[in-house]
Amino acid sequence: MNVTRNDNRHGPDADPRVTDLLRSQYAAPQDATYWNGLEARVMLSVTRSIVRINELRPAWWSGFGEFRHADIRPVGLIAATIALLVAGATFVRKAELDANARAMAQRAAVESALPLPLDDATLTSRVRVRLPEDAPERYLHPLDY
Amino acid sequence: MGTDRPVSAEALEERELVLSAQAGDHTAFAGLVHRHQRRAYAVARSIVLSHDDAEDAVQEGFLHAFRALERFRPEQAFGAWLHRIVANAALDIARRRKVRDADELPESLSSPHRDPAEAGELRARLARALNTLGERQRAVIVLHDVEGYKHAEIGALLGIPEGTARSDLHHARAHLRRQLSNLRSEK
Repeated sequence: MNVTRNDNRHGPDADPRVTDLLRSQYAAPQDATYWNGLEARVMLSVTRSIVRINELRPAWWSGFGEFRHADIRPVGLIAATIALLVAGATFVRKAELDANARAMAQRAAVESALPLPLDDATLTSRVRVRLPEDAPERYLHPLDY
Repeated sequence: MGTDRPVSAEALEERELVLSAQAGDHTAFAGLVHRHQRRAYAVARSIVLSHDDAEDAVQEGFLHAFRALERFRPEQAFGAWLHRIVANAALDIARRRKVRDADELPESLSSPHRDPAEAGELRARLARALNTLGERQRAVIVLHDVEGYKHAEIGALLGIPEGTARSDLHHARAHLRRQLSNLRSEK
């Protein structure tokens, strides 16, 4: 905002003495070192905030970074190897399952395309109509009774 | 159209800083802090009661601004956007602050008056009178009488209509004059 000084600080309802007192009480620090310090503190809080955000959202592999120190480096190598083996085994197993699923789906698709064996057959037995229990069935199919 | 205003070199420089800061350049953001921290402090100081709270509000305001920087549109005025954020941070701190001690006036401030005893008493009385003002009225009178903002600018900063800022200023002045006139009549 481009602040333009108003010219009403000593207007008709303003008390110049109170205004001067207010100005002395609310005066901003004049020392340049104060402002340099404030700027540094602001930038420090900004940097800390960035670091905090990065810590809250670690990548899954970032845990291996903890093992980079010399005294626990062998443990880190073993852990990384195990993780690699597990990831490889999981990949292979998933590929097998996918292949099986694809084969089953193809088989089902082929079988469903064949004509049904009963399509051309003549049904000799009648299909009984499902009736409510209280229906007088013998009136509908008298020969059965 | 036809409302294009000449853009100053300073405004262009600031726009460059904003664009660089949005691209992740922290040095550019530090440049924006350097440019705006004094005005931001003045805005915050008009709303809160102490220097420390004003400083906290400035830091929080800049931090909020940094986090929201990607949502800022560079064609806007960065200062107006930032000062609004700082004002909101200061209002938040003022609301959270439960204890308001009028005696916490900084002693190092120079007094414009000749009689130290009267000035000290007047300052203490002023501090008490300011405490009895509402947050908004106090902010309005300080922004207007100390910082020189216009009513419309104060309205934009505090999120109130210009007429309300004008009315708040009138009532705040009358209140302070009433409170401090008692002291003079006692003398």
